[in-house]
Amino acid sequence: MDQISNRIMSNNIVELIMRSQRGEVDSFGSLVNIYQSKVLGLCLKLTGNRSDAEDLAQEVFLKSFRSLKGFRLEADFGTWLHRITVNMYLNYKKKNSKVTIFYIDDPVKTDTGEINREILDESADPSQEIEEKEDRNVIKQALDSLSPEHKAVLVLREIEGYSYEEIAQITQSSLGTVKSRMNRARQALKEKILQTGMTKAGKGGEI
Amino acid sequence: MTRKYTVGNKSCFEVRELFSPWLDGEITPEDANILEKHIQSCPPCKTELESWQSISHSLQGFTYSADPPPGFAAQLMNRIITEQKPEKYGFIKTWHKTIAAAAAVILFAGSVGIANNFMPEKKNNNIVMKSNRTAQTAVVDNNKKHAEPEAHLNTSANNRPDTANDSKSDAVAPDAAVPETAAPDNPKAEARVVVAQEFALFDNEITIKSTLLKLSSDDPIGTIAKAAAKTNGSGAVSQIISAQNTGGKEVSITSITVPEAASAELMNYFMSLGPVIDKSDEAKDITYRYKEALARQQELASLINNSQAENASYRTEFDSLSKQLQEWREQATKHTIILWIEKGQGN
Repeated sequence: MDQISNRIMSNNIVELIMRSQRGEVDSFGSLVNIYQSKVLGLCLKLTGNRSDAEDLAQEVFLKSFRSLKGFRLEADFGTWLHRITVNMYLNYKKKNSKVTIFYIDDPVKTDTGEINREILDESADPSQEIEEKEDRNVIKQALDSLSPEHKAVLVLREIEGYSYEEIAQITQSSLGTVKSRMNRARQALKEKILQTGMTKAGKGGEI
Repeated sequence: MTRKYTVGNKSCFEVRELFSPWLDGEITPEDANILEKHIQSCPPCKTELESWQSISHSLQGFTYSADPPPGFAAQLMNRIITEQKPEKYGFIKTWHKTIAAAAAVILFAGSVGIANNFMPEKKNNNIVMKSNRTAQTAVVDNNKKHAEPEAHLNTSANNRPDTANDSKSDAVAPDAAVPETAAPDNPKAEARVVVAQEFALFDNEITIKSTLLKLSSDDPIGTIAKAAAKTNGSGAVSQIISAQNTGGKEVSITSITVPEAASAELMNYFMSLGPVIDKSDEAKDITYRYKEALARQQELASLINNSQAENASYRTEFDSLSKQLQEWREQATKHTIILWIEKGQGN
């Protein structure tokens, strides 16, 4: 039953993609509706804050519409969108390496008064101890301070659950690169966590 | 720092290269064997691996709520259509389809974005189709609604910066001039903040309702004029999204935001104007997001009130949450009708 509905679903998607490739905007609109959460989700994890994530997601869909002709139907559309997402995120970070990015834990001060919503959903487990929350915040902060490349592989693996093979496709690198990058990313993350933890402990005279 | 001593045939450095593949289940059985043996006789590596593992678990536990904001898809489709338009003459042929797409997407995305994105105060270039080929120009007088205080409130409450106005905006550079008004409080006027009581009072759920109503008419211009007259007398805000004439077929789409109490009457009136081709309702439930914002606001209030030091960023966030909550409350009392009128074949 599930398989059948899956197949119908994927047939529908293939049809929507083909129509979109022919320039049918309404079909692309349907694809956007299907994939917007998936794309936005990854954008959130990469950028660390909602408003940047929404802007990035918009650019990803625009870009994908423009390059839709190059999409091979046998590939997975969601993965393809994620590839564009990672690409644009990395390029953006490269171009704007001097720009300070606001992360989720710092409330953003803007003239627009726009809310920087908290995206780390800690309400998931109501019994969570404060200590655990602290730990998570430290990890989140450390993750956000990693280089974009390290952050990307960690997010793709740990949060999105992609395999190395898929990550290699998404980041357009070799399997060997993914392996070693993943290891270096974890090493760097651990070091950042130690640093952050220590700074916090050093600063926090309060109990 | 990785130590250089060797246990078995492999150095710690080499073994640690296997940590990630092992954690990720991407390791060969031989390598797994090497690693596990090494760990048994090397406490530092064991500790290191354990810490990696625990970080990994924490990361996997991260959850993100990736609800697209209302109007996300509509805004995007606007940009795509606007971008496509000048490119090809052949595009005119698919004009109707794109209008349908725009309307469908707008509806799908919920009505929240509509009032915001199509407000005439903002540059009109985010309106999907504004064309010289238009047979009928905007009949609804947008300026009239400025007389309505309610309309004005709605206008000022802006959910998202309108990046549709600037299709070349950088990927990660929120930049917007959101009109100020809705929040009555002046942040610097007083030191203490209070969560407005009415925010906490709401019915079981907050939904934002919209309806797509398609009519056929022999005389679309006349029908639009009638609809407009009625709209202006009912405290509603209306905005022509598009008006188009191609190949003898005219379609015009108007978005009308009306107080919930008046929506049924207005809807009935619209339906009396011509044969109904299609009518579909949508309700978007934002209760969860509302409650989340409310809880955060209460938390901020206590942070601000209980701390000696002035914290401007808390205050900014508090004020923007007030605005957001206010806006949602207002929108929840309203109903958006997307009125689609197409020229009938003399029905």
